[in-house]
Amino acid sequence: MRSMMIASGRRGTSAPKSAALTVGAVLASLTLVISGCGGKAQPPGEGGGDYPKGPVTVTAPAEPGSGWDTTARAVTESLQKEEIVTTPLPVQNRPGGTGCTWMTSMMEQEKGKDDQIAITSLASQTMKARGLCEYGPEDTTLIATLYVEDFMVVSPANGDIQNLDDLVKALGDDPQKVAVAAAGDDTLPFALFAKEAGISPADINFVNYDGGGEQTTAMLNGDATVAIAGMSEFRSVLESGDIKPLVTFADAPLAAPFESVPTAVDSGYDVTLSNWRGVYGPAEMPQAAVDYWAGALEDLSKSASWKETLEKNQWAPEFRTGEDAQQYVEEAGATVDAGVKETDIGSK
Amino acid sequence: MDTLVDLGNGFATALQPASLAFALLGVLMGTVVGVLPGIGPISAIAILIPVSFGMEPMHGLILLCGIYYGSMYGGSITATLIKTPGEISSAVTAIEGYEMARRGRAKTALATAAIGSFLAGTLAIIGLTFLSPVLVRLATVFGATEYFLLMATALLLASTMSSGSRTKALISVFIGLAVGLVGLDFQTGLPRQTFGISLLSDGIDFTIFAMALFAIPEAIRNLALGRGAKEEIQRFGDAKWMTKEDWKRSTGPWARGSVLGFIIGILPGVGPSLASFMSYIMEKRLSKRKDEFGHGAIEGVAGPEAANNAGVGGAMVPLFSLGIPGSATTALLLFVFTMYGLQPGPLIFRDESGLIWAIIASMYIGNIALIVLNLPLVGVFVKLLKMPKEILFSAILVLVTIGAYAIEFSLFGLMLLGLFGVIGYLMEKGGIPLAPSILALVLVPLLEDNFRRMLQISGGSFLPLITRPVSLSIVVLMLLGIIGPIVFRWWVRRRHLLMDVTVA
Repeated sequence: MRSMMIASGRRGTSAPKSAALTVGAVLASLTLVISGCGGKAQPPGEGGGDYPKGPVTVTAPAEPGSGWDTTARAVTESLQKEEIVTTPLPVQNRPGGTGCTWMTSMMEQEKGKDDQIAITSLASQTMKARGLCEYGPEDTTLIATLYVEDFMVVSPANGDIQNLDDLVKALGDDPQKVAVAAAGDDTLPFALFAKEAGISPADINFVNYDGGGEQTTAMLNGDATVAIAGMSEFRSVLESGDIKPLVTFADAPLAAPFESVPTAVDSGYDVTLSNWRGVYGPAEMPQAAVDYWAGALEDLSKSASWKETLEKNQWAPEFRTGEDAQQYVEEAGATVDAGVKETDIGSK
Repeated sequence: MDTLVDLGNGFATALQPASLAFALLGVLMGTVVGVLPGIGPISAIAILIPVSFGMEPMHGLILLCGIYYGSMYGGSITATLIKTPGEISSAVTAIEGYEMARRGRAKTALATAAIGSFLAGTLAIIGLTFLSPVLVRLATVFGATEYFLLMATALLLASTMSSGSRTKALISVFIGLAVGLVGLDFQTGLPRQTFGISLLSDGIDFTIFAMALFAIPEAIRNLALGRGAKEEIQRFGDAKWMTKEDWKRSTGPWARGSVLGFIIGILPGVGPSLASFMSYIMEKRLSKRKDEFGHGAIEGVAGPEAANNAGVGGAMVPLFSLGIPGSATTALLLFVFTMYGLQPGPLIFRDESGLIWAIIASMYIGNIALIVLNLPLVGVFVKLLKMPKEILFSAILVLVTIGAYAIEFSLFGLMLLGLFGVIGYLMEKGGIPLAPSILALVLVPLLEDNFRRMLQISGGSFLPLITRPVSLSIVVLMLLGIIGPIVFRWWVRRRHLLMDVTVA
């Protein structure tokens, strides 16, 4: 009901006018849709103090609706709303090879440009570790890390596995009987956890699904015994109580209402890995542009609307720039490298 | 009764001028993006997200949902008139719809599509309103085993989509399967059949394949005829409304398509596109005029168009009641909900009932708006066909090229379009039907993923096929479907033989 009250409050005063404005904006966007304009930015000028002069394209290297896409849209939304950046920030989707296609373009074709930034995450490090991509985030002009999404292992509320001990026992008895629903490289933290628990990661029966929705369905229909993913993927069913959390791989207890979910470290398994998301620029991006974006994103991280976005999506703040960010990402990379070597997830 | 009260309140909100305006705008934009090949509801929704954040949650969601179901209408227009499916779900309409247009029945085809869409869309929302709590269980009863069987059945039926040689239909199916396997293997993430070309690692986009197979061969064929050979498309421009006979023949397909589309739409990961193909196959099997299929059978337009609209309503069931998106488009809608601080799922009908019912009510209104908008436009669109064919088909090629480029903004898409266009032309020359390969392309990832999941979960055993009640029923039905006709034919022949003997 919350939003309804806000809605009726606003409607009383200026609804017709704002509605008319919005209709105009919608029509303008429609023109964009029709012209199929991806919003290729013009060169914003030769740097200097007044960067950026023109639009800067924010690329989500995946389909609309994916994690990278939602990050790109959430970031641009807050940057514009808080008037931190006033030049246009068109979001474009460039799916391909789990982000590898666009990262390669940023390293080669877009080299030295200052009108492009893009979203990346832990998944790109897995791609590199597996030998499926030449470049990883640490090779690009990494501008900042923004937040982390904590991995969580969940099970159906009415299933056999009610807590972490049940899970370890079931895995010990017969790992084949425990179907672990995972999407893409979510397998990594679980494999590291299995190793800590004395079970060979290669024996874990990972079944691949396309995101949290499919994983949830698989648990509800009995196909999957447990599932692992970023915790926001399971939000609706966690809230309704159909699914219960078993463990998280966060480095500290989660925020409410999940403060009682045990972390792996507290339970005696030394695994800490979170899916960080960050922003990078083309190789050899001019320093003025890098500094500008580091500053703008820092302002973003302090803004009210961004904090609200983090909270709505259950993302935990993890803002770092410069050397600090580089170091953080390299550490995560080392964990990923180790994980890929330990487990037999396919690599070249 | 509570539902009716809630729905009534929803209508009260949805009928306010601003809500109404956004519903109308949404369906109008949906129609437009549906018409344009390569630009689907998902791109339109993605582009409008920044605008919608500035709006009240209800208005934003009404607008974006309107684009989604509105786009199902627009797709049938280009499919029928120029054999260029704008969306996956209207690909099947390009078969009979276009054949009807060639026989001067474009107006009839568009009318039956629009009316069918309206009826099915409305029925699906009624289903969403009253049956959600029951039907949502469907989404959780179907596991990998059942999905695999469902897809296998569909694939078996794919070869019956076309008339004529069964062998040629199977060749078409295999072409589709081969194209569908290009890309990263879903379970291991390793590339397959990409020939080392990294641009192929994401697979072949369905829309490019469908446009290349349908639109390009047709354009080449017509342009190759030259000025003199007018008879090929001479009756293109004529226009007649639906006759009494047409109404009679459309009613059954509309009803069956609505039910089938709604049920298939509920299943996460399957969605409206498969619904339209399945409806086509069903109509063809049930029809007493099987020979008309492939030559402009109205049932082949009425059924699938009803099914894809009902499918959208079905897809809203798991989205609203479980928070589970069944497709990329619904995943994007889910993100919009989240950004407004709303969480679709079991609790939303309690916590945000005013909002959710207003959205549902706006869908009833949007569907009425769509039929009011689309029926008069039928006459306008049909006039397009009066254009000289050199201009018309050249324009189609331009449109298809832009569409193919817009999908990934890469020249590689254009090369694929050209390559498959030539393959499609050769297939058509060789009498190999095109539709089965398109259906096979849709099916192959679903079939393979679920097959492998089934085996992984069972530890390599095929037993789940017969130990689960739902899967066992599907297996029995499949066997009956395959063996039944053989036994029946044998029985009929035997009776004839016996009668011959008696007569002699």
